[in-house]
Amino acid sequence: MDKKQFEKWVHRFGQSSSFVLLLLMVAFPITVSAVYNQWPNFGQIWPGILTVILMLAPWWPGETIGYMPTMGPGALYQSYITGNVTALRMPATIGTMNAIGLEPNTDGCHTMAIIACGASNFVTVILLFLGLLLSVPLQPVLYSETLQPAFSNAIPALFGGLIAQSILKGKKQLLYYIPLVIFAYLLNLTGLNGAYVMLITVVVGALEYFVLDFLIPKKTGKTLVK
Amino acid sequence: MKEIINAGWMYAFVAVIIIGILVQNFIMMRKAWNHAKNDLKLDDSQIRKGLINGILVSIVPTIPVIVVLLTLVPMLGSPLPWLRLSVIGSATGESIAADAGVQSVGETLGIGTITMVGWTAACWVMSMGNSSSLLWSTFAIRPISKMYGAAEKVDMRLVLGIGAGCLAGTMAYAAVNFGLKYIPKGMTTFWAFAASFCLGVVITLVNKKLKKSWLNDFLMAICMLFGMFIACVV
Repeated sequence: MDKKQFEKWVHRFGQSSSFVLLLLMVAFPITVSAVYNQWPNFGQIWPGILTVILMLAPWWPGETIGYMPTMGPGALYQSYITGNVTALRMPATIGTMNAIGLEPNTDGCHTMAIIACGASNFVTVILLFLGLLLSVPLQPVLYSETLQPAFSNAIPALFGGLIAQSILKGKKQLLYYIPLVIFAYLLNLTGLNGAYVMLITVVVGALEYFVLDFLIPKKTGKTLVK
Repeated sequence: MKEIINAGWMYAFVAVIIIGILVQNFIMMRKAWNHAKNDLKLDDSQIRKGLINGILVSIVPTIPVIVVLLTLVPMLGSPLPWLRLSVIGSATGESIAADAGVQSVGETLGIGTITMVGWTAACWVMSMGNSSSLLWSTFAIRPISKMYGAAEKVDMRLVLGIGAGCLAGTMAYAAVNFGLKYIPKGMTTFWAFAASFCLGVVITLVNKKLKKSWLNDFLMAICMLFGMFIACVV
């Protein structure tokens, strides 16, 4: 199966399975209301639904456009079903890329992203189930005041090592990433919504590579940094 | 009320959806494994690295999600939070969605404070609001992927360059969002990030000298645990 055939299968299966799960998700509140004959007043709840959509929507273009080269379509279909795209699925993918030495936007990278994200999804689903089953014995650990800072800072701690590993991949990464970090930091100081900070930084990152790695070498015949 | 929101049929309904997710993931992973092995000629040990990485990276960051689950269960019963946090939901997003739902009918989210009207509103707002993400992924991923495919036909180097640029942008954003923006407010978070980053630098440099690939494989897990430890100490 070549890259094109595999991608075609991924889209067909990803779209159809996502749609089935969407229908099941929507069916849950409908079934609840039908069983108990307890329908909500839609005039009252629509602002709540809109609030949730508006909270999520700014992230969609940034995540899909920005993460597509790294995660590929398959891992994105998987990740959108279980959520936590930035906090869990993206680091799982980049960690795998770094460990195996894969380049973004390649067939190998997109294929391995499916395996890494799938494994990550399994872990989340299984741990949540175990959390539900063991809710009583787990409470002293989960609510321990001593361990609280560790749990609430798990994701920043996860990204620290990941960013170090990515930046130190080579001279090029070191030189290209640092100005981008400064740019993102300054952009964040403007108070702009985080979703737009992400989208703009990703676009600027793509432009940086486009100019320094593609346009200039194409015109001059010389590579700036190897 | 407690019996209604913890009804057996609701557990069964949620279990069906969650099994559906696991089946979808399993089918995709099996197909990807075969593609990696047979067509891309990656060996089993490399593919297994991807699998182990996905598992290791996800265990600890799932703990805050379990904490939110256990916080919501006394208020909303078990099936609804279990469903919402297993499908699409994030720890913060679900708490906000539940609160928005309950407040839209004039009630307050708390233990024993919501009626069936409030619970139904929370159920609808959480399910419908978050399902919009699935609607987006179902219809937007394919055209965006095709856009990258079209660029590939123009010049492969262009696509690889843009891919590397997007990744650089993502990492730069993550460095700010999960670390630098916490200076000076939220220094515990910053130190967790910084400690993990510094250990990551040390391990990467040692690894480059000693060529110990296992260090690279477990770098993220080791750095994360170190960062979490520092968060408890500072």
